[in-house]
Amino acid sequence: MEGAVVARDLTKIYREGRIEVTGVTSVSLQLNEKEVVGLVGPAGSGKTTLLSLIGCILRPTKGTLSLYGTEIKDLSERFLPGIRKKYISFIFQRFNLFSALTAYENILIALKLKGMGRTFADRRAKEVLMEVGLSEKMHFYPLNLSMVDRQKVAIACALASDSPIILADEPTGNLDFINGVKLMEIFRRLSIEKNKSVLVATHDIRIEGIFDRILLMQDGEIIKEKRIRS
Amino acid sequence: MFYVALRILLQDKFRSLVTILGIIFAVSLIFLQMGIYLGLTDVSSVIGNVQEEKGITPKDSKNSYFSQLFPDYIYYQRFLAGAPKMEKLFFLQSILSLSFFLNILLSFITGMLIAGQTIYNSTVEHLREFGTLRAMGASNFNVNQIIYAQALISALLGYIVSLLITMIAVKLYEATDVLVVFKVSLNLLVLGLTLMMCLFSAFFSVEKVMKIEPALLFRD
Repeated sequence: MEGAVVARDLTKIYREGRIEVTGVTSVSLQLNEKEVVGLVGPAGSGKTTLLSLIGCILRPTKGTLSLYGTEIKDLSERFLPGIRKKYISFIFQRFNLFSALTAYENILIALKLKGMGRTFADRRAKEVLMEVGLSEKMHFYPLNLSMVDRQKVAIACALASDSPIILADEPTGNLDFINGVKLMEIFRRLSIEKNKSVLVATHDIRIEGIFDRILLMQDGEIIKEKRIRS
Repeated sequence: MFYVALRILLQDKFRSLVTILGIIFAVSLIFLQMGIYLGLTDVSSVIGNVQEEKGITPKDSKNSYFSQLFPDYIYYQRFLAGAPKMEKLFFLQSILSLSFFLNILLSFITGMLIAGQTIYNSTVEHLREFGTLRAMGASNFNVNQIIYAQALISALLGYIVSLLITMIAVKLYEATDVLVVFKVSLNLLVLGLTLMMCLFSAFFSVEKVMKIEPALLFRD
């Protein structure tokens, strides 16, 4: 079966003048539908670079990457925003919400980027806010929300845009254990009910049990794969 | 995206106020410099068109120095008894043109720098958010729209206030007999200059957003 994400020998080398720094080296992986995969490793091991490559915000120096059968390497730069819009949702540790917009408006932006009309976008934004339990706080600005609620808004943005691939960077980094587990349960439910493929970069070993598989990264390479659930 | 730009401007109220005040300052100066210059050159053209050494001009013509009426002795000396040399008039007009042109240029640059500085600072503060928009699939055009829309909104607000200030100033100048030209074509020209000034000022902010490093989005 062709996976949602198929990467083969992905290599990223950053160049600063004459200095070359390797981000990831010959990484091959497959991410399937209905799968939650953990990307675990120390800081500087290449997790962020790998997420950026899969999310098409960085281009590989070598290797191939396909998302739902679309080969990314062959596409010119101007097609990448369209690919991201169609396939990818990011969830960042710092949430990266628009501070000038309310929770509801942040979700609306994500939906408008998808090309959704005002009426549908309005309805969908309210639906996902209800789904993550934030209906009461929909008109709150991010600064007036707790860390947990901000993360929920970020998740609601990803939910609303309905992308098949969710890439999350340390999503539980600012959450306590209980809320971290709750968040991961949302990911698991999404992957099963809505056929999402979820890749989570994390240091948090407490949430290990929620993954289907764990990929251990070190020095830009995947050194070990561990199956958690069969 | 226009809505997002508006909300960013409303969020950073003090900064937006500084931007708009800078634009008002620059545009009001441009308005008045242009108006006074046109006032001067319009009346001096009466003299410039005189082909004879002894020129005759209506008694109420204004002089080319301060747009005021010619004192009687000059009126008689220059246009009946004596004769203003054409070269001298051209020379005077060139000096005036250069001086006014430099004033307008400096006002334009000042406005551009003030607007540019504040829009740039705002962009840097929201860089992570712009980067996230791009990660969500927004095109460069979408993201640039937000920055240019901020410049455009500031430009229009600044222009409207400047227009009102200029209208009041024109009334005040009228009382001193100084002619300040204030007409639709001039207003449109200044509007064009204001828009140009603000859109240029957004250029560096757009450049900054285009060069966002993906790592910024992931950094804690």
